Amino acid sequence: MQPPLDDRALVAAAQAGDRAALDQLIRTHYDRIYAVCRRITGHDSDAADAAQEALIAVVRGLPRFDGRSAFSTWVYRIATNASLDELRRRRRRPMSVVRDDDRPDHEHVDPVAHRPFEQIAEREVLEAALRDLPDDFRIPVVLRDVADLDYQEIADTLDVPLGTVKSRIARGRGMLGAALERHGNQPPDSRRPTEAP
Amino acid sequence: MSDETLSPDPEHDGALLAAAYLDGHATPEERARVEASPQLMAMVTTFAQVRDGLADVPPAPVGPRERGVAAALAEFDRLQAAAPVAAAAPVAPTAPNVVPMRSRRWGKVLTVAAGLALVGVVGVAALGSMGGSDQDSSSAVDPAEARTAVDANGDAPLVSQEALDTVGVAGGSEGGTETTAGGQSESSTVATIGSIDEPGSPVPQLEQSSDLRTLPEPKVAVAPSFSFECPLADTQEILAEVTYQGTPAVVVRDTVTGVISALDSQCTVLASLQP
Repeated sequence: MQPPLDDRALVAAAQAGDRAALDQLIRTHYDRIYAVCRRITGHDSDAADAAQEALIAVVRGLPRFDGRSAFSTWVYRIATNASLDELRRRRRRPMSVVRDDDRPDHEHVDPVAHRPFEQIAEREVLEAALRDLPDDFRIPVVLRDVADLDYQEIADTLDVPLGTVKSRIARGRGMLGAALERHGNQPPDSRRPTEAP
Repeated sequence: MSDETLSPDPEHDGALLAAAYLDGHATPEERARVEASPQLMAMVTTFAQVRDGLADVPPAPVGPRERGVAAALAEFDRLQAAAPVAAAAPVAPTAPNVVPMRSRRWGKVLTVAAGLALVGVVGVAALGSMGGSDQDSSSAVDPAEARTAVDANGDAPLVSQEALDTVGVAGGSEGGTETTAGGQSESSTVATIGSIDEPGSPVPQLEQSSDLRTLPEPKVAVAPSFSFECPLADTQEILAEVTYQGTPAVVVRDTVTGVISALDSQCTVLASLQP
């Protein structure tokens, strides 16, 4: 059994017309793409739409991808853009439209539904606070905490100075943290410990 | 681009330190300062809680995931199929709006294709279906929308031009070199188009292909009345059904490339027009 190819090899193969390589490449990154879209748009169905648009854009742009940045960075940048487009489309929709998210979705089983209520409540508070966060703050935070891009990659993606990225991430996290604290959550000791640099 | 780093707000300075600490960007001196302050350490803990919560995204549902992957692969297949045709039939640089055919038939081909497109648009308009397309969320990224991406304050783009380039919205970055879909040979296409001008044809005559650009966007696909089994890509939409040289045909537009084609029931491209 051959070991899985890394992104660089998969990209090269896909650029050469290898369909299987492309399939593997986009499946490898789909979850993170979806996560970025989900956090930026705030809704499952919008995230799915944005992720699909991002994948199509990735395919179209693949011949021009030159590898100067990591494939993941490039892909998350596209996912961010697709999510923003989806947000703009959503804001133009009539408010009376019934969203897919409002309907039962039998194929979407929330794997965290069994968690203690406090954790679920915390997640809901965080999601609501994230949705209320202005784009300027929400997107850098998502790119840092969900896409795991470093500050410079985020600055390049958003075309803002590095210091601005740092500032917006700090402010964004601060606003989200304040929302959690208002909800009455204390930082639990048992959760993942802070990673000291 | 103005830098928002500098701030007279001590609380913000603390947040900057806490974020840098959490992300591993703090200097040794800054780390020591954070670790010496219970308040800053509490902020670090809260930020870590936020980070963990944000990263805890429910997995993508299987259905949308598979649809997304399938759409991407379909696009890949479409591009792969179109690439050899484009390479084999370069567009004349002085007249890039029409797919390459024999130059002496250029005016006729342009007129025919433009007429077909106009018939399609008129047909759709006659159905009274000129509503918005906001619910068409599965369509390709709207270049116009992407190009206007500005932040909430309107002071800077939310995404870089390079990012826009990656989704194909850079002005002029794409050459108009695509050719007809379906890989039809030049001779067969020209032979089909050669006798289009039938007496009494209702097809309007347009002198310039640019006239098409002023037409309103059709929003609703028209279902053909005849057996039309040609598989269309997700980016293709049917504009109208026409009778072309006695043959039932469907006018199809690629919503991404803008290419308008007339296809018969066997997927033969009878005419094609670049945007």
